[in-house]
Amino acid sequence: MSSYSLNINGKAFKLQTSPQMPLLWVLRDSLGLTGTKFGCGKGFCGACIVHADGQPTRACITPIEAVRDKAILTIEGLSPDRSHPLQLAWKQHQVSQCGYCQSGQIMAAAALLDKHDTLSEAVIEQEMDGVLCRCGSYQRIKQAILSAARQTHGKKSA
Amino acid sequence: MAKNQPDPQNSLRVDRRRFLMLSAVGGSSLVLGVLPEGARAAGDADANGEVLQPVAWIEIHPDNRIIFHMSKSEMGQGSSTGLAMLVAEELHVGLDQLDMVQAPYNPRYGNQSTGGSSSIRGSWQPLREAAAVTRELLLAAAAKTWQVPQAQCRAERAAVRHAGSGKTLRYGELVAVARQLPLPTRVALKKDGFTLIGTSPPRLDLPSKTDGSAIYGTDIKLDGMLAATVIHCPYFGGKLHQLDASAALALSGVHQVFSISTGVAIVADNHWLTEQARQRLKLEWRPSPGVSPVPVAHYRKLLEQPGIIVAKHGSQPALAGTRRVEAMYELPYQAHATMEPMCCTAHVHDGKVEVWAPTQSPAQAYSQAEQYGRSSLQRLTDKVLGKVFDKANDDVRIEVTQLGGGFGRRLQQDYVAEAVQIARRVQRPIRLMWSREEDMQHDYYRPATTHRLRAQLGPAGAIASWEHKLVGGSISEYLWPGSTGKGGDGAVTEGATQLPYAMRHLQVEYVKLKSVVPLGFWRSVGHSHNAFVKECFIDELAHAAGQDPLAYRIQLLQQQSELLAVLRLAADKAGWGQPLPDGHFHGLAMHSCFGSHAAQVAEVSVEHGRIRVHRVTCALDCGIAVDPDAVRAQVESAVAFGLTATLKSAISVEQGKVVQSNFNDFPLLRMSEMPEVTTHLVANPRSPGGVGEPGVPPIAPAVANAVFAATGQRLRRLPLRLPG
Repeated sequence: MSSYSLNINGKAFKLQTSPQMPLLWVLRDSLGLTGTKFGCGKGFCGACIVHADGQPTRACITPIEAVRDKAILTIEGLSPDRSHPLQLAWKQHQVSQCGYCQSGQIMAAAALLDKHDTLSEAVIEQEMDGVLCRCGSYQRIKQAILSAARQTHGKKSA
Repeated sequence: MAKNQPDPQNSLRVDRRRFLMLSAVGGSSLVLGVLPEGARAAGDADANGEVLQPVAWIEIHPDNRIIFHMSKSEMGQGSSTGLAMLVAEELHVGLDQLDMVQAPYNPRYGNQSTGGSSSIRGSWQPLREAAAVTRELLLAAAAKTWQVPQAQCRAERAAVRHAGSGKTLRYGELVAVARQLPLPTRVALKKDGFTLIGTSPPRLDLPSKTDGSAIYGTDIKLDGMLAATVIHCPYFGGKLHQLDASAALALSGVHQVFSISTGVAIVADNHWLTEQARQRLKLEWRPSPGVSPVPVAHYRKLLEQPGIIVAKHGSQPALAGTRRVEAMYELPYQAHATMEPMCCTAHVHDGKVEVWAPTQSPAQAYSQAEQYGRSSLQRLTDKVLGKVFDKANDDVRIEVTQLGGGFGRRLQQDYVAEAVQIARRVQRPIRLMWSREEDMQHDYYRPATTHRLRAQLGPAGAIASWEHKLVGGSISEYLWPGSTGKGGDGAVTEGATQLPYAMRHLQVEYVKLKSVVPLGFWRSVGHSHNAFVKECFIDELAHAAGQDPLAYRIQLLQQQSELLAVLRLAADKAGWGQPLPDGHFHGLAMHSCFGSHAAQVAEVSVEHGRIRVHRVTCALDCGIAVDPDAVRAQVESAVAFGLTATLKSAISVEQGKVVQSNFNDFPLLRMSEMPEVTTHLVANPRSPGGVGEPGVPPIAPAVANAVFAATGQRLRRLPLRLPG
């Protein structure tokens, strides 16, 4: 067991846990931040994507020790009032179906928006390809990301 | 029902008895009639007697809060919003004025099962009637208050207005008077002039699915809660031979390891520890002697055995002068692979069983919770109470959470039974979460099937004979042993037995297998395999007859105007017969199921043996589309779901175990593989048909037929693989 002082969504959390415990279960089971989802436990599906110092990170395969000094951002911290451009675009395009993968999709997309000055369908497909959705909301996810990119980057995105 | 009421004003008499009866037929029941006059309102919300609840679903408070108790499950299909629209439309309130809450299990709602693409079409009549009865009651209350004829009163946006005086009372202000009035005897339902139906308001469940606040099966927080998981015997029908949990229990934070009805349960402080404990368990499972699944490879041989004739029309024609076509098709087991693995939260304490379940079948969840959470004496009492009062036991509570996908998997309640057993044993609240591997290997699979099609073609390609013989496990027999007797199984043969195409002779024969592999309902069920077989074979016959696949279908559909309309719409919108980009080819398929007709044109290219689906043009006739955008979303979803089975993944069983385990060996369709899907709705003002499933069956044959157009190779096995 080790002691951790974590920075999650801009708030400080203290806990004692095994260094090997994955970030996903620290968030969900230790801290009650259940917006981040368990889908596969092996990093295959992306339902658990959060940001660690701005990098999209699969929380189910990331030991807490590996992010102990990093700023963690989860879906709960993306905006205080669903006002992030992606959350607005998600509403505009009526993206979510069952919704279970959507925290991961939105967090992956948010990192994508931060990383690129311009976004094309090809870039979105390439970078979002490992985030699975069994409901098949991909078409709308793509449209929503493009909308949000236009909003965020001005006219630079196709 | 309106059909039976030749009333020119489209109004129908509603008396209490009839409403109850109608509603029972329509899959609902009411609090009416079982409660005395003046005390109709029901439920806990009415403890202080201030609420108007003339029907189970609708509750109006004096403070103008209007609550809709939504009694179906939301698993992404969007029907919760559609159901709220039905209520708002006839209650004459805005969707923004309706507070939708998820109903727990309660028999007063009638059939709460969410499957068979039935939520909207099954609720179309009863929910609108329920809202209309409530509205008329409020109108009557206003008329009485003002001492004016009711005909001079109008209800709009949750208020009643008197035309002459301009007086207005909000619904909440009418509750006290309305509570004293008898139910209206006539209600009129809109036939057209809808204000909400046919529009696409924002989904009510969507905001909570963009900020992580939506509550799924293990997102409930209870004091003292523990995490649990279950390990199942990998051999179907096998047994646990030995369990040594000492190393697992030595881990700090691991509480208990014990056997339950379906496997071995691990209970720990958190889910990571349950996984750590699992890795330290010494488990020995053994297959049961004599219990092993029939290998799918043997199905071809089994086609030689006589089966059950499940459909037969006309007589076999003489062979002379006809051309014979024969083909074999093979489809594998399929997993549902919902993104949320099977999970459930439960707390069994003080004689109470509390369950929070992502379930498509709250009634089944209830019966499992009751069976595993109550003592035998309690169960006896429950049974008597249930018989006498037709009422669920208040000590067993099933709350329905959001479902992280359903697709038919969550009609089976094995995971609820497990959660309740574990919670009862540990006497603390638990949240059960299966690993992805357990979920993949302990599904209720779409059965694997092998099919032989034989046809005889007469002049101009007319079908003189169509014989379809299939082998596969019986879903009904697996779920309800003995239920099919000597008969077939409609769940497996649906979509094969009633064909729209003109043919002189049809015979469908089913070699029914008793399955050791768990079988269940996979989005579109029997239609999923039979549409593939039927629509590919029709394509083969078109080519055998030297005809264009579209023209051939049109010829065989003769006077079937609805089917022709949907087929032509898809073909026209796709530009069937028009030039396509180099290397792109079209394939066509259509299928009717769950009260709707679907046609799809897939635009496909094949490069270096890789099949790529670029575009899918869909037409759907689902009658009145209550929420057209939600309908389109379901078609997009159905195409994506169907493409995983068409192009990518299958479940195989070897040595009595499922081979696949996670998304590495059961890959789902990815964003880069998602075609551009456009959906065109046929304007057909009939009552709504189903929407969640009808888009699935046509996609596999549309793609396979396009691959034939591209390569000349007829692929008759799913997932599609080009040789070499």
